[in-house]
Parts: sequence; C-alpha cells; structure tokens
Amino acid sequence: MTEPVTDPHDEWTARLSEYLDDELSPGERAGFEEHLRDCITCRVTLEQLRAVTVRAAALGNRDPGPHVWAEIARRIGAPDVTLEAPPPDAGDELAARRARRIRFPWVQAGAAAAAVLALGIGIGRWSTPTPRLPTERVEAPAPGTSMNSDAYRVAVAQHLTRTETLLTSFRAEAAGGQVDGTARDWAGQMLTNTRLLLDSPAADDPKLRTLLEDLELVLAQIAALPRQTDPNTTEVDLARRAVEEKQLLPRMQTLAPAGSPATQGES
Amino acid sequence: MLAAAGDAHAFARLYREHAGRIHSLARRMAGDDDADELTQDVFVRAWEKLRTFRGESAFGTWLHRLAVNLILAKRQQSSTRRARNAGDEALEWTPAKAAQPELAMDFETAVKRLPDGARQIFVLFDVEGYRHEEIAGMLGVSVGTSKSQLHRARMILREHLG
Repeated sequence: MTEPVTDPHDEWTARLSEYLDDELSPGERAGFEEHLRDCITCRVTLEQLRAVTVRAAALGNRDPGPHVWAEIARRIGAPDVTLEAPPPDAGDELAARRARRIRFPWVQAGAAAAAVLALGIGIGRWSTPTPRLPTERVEAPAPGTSMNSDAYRVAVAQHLTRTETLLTSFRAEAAGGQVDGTARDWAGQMLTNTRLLLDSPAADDPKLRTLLEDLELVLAQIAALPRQTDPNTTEVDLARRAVEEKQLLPRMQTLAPAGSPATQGES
Repeated sequence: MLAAAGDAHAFARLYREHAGRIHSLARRMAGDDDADELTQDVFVRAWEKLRTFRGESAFGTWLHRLAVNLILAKRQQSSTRRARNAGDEALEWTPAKAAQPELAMDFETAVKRLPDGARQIFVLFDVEGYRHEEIAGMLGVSVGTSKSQLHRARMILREHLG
C-alpha cells in the first residue's frame, strides 16, 4: 500500500499562525524557517496574517448608549445614579498582554526578522522562471541596530536596487505585451519587504519613508494583477503610470546609487 | 472598595470606566442586537458578585472574565434553543453567517461575519488577549481546536485587509 504523499507546503501553511504566535517548538521553528527560506507564498501569507493580528489588536471600543446604564441602575435599585466623566484608562493585565502580542520583526525575536526580512530581501533577479531565491542574501540587522549602521544601509540599498530591477522589467514587459504571473509574485514579496522596512527604524528617514510608501502602493497594484494579465488592461496601465508619475525609478537610483553595497558582488 | 460595599455611585464610576470594552466584547462575540442586553446583564451580575472580588487581579480583568463567561453561557443557551427548534445538531461550529469576499468590507464587519466558533476564538485571542489554554477552558474545546479555529479566522480575514 502506497503511503499518501503530504505536501510540506500544506503542512506549514496550516501552522503559520502558530509560528506567528511563537508556539512552535525550537525544532519546528527551525524547520519552518527553512521552508520559509524558499516559499514566497508562505512569506506573503505570514505577512498578511501578521497584519490581521495588528488590525485586531487595534480595534477600538465604543461606549454603549445612555439607556444601557439607565436599565442597569434600575435593576440594581439605584435609578437616580447618573454617570460621571470617565477616568483615564487604568489598563489591566489583558490589555498589557494584547499590546505585547503586537509584534513587528524589527522589535521581536531576531528569528522572525531573519526568516522574513533577510530572506525576503535577498530576492535576486525577478525574471527567473520559477520564483526561487538566489544564494546571496543580505542578513537582517539585529533588532535594535542603529539606522546609521552599515547593516541597515545595505538592507535598504539592496531592497531598492532589486525593486528598481522589478519595476524596470515590469515597465518593459507592459510595453512589450508580455506581463505574466512572475511579476505579480515578485511584487508580492517586495511588497512584504517594503512594509517590513516601513515598520523598521530605517523608515525614520523622511525621504526614504515617502519613497517606501509610494513603492508600497505601486507594488500592491502589481501584486494584485491576475496571473495571466492582458498588458492592455486598465490595471496594468494604472500601475505603469504610477511608476512614471511618482518618478520611482529616478528616486530609487538617487537613494541606492550604482556601486552601493547592495549591488556589489552580484552576478 | 466602595462599590463592593453597595455604593452605587462608585459602581457607576466603574461602569463608566469599563462599559466601552465590555459592550464592544459583547458586540463582537454576540452581535449588535444582543450587545446592550448582555452588557446590562454583565454589570448587574458584577454588582451582585462584587463582594466576591478579592483584588487578586485587576478589577478590569475580573470583570472581563465574568463578561466572557456570561456571554458564552448566553450564547450556548441560545444555540441550544435554536438547535432544538430547528432540529439541528452542533450549531456551535457551523457558519451561521458565511464570510463573503467583499473587498470593501470593513474589518469589523468582516469579524462579525466569521463563523461562530472561529469568531469567538479570534476575538478572545487576537482582540482580547487570552491564551489558547484559557480559551480552551472557557469554550470547552481542545487547545488544538482553539489554534485551528484561530488560524481559520485569520485566513478568512486576510482577504479583508484592504
């Protein structure tokens, strides 16, 4: 009798939340990060799940209408007691726990940063037929590293250089009528990395932050394209025009000039 | 604690401080229609049980746990009643309101449309900060179920981040 074949991707996809919540054993965590190294889909999904948790923790509370207290006051035998202005938020254990759960790779355990940022930033040529990462990678700066460190400069420069390559190729393919799913896949990954950089101390630089925010919008447009895309569609045209109108390519070249650490040593 | 000694004015101050959080919890766990009544039930129950609050945890934590237990109990009663009426089985984990891929849907609305079980666990874990072990105890499910329902909820909600 043949053993059923289990796709390791499916196995890990089901455990993305456990990884995010730091509930995997050290061995499982290492295995997951090994998988993450080569799986763009899981990296993107992980980032989406992280965004869900952040959004959930940020949900606000809304006071009920005055009729709710009026009924309570009646039921406890104090119908004449009215409400005063609320005191400042006292906070409690649950609120503190919830705040601690909001994790960003740059401030949580270094493992998450290594798994998502460092691996994601090492993107390589996006025109590779199958979306696999090259052997060269830029290691993520350790959490708490100063923005002035070489590590951050290299990470940012490499990200910008490779995003520039992606956008240049996308523009050329859109003009040549050959936009395919590869651009979308790589844009999804670069979108994840862009958001990670936006959440990092690297984005303290106002000029870089503005650029990353503009990149985020354009990459999101490309990442949302269908796998088989007619280059004449409005969506492609909008993305292509956004690249032009926001002058993304010259701005990236200014901030990540040729010969920067990011481009050195690349084949 | 003055409220525990029967001071309604002190209790009103506690209500003012915590009502928003309790009402929002009720709204997310049970829906808009039941939130007001559940909030009233929680605070009336708290008034009745204040003497048993020993100050071992923050009052907010004590009140919140009381609220979760009461909301879950009411939901359970309601589910049982619906199941009896409909001759249905195990409504707890059936998607009463299926999540729909509406891109423009507000995140809060998307949470409300989650299947019952997934929504309760998502709210308790990601919104309220409880641990899986605590949730499993409150809901009477296994830790594994709590984890898988949380993941299910997040996977649905990621479509509504827009």
